[in-house]
Amino acid sequence: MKGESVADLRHELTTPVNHILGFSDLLIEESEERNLEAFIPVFRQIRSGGRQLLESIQTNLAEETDSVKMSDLEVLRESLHGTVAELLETSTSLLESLEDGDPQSLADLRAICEALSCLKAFSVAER
Amino acid sequence: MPKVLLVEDNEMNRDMLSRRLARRGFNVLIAVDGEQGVRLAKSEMPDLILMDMSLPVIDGWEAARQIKAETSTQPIPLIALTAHAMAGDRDKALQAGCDDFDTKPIELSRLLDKIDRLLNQKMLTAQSRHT
Repeated sequence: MKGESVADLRHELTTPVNHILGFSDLLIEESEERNLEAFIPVFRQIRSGGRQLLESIQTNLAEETDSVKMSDLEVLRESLHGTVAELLETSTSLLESLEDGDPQSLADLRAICEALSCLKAFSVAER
Repeated sequence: MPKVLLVEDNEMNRDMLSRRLARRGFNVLIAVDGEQGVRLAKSEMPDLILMDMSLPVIDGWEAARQIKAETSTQPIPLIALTAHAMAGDRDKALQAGCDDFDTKPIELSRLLDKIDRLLNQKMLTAQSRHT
């Protein structure tokens, strides 16, 4: 992490966030089409949490700075930690409860869990 | 059904965007690097190209330049997709000959507006050539 540029770190963190946003959008669209209304609020919660994560990354890693300061990194880790943990718990329980569900939706939900695990690894590092 | 060539190396991004476009009636072709993107642009002549700029083999900037330098593929509208992290990408994309630019995360409605505008523009240009 030391010596990594702000642009690289932003890219490294926004890629999993983009996956969370994209796959939750897909899950919402598919649930709406198939009248699976019970799941829509949870997928919206995941998407809204994903947007929160994106805002934190954009706020704490300003484009105009060249290198990442350890203090900024700590603030960013702290700001991501709670939301990541909450979303990971929500997504994992949903995945378990949908064990026999549509394979494509399960794969999308797994992709979200994977992205959240990447962010969790960042948020708990060197704390 | 408009044919869209999506050039994207990240498997998950590719899967997400291609499925969302296919649901809206687009016929989506896939290339996983810049070189394949240039090759498919020439052989498939898509109606529009969506090009990630951070690509292996040849990057999106170079692939866009090659597509826009070739007479047959030059009229194909090309939208550059970049990570928001890269400042100055908009100007760089336009200099490489891209017709428009969008940043990730993709807001589908915003991207669809850009696709519609460029496809309509292309259709009007083609019509005016025939009259």
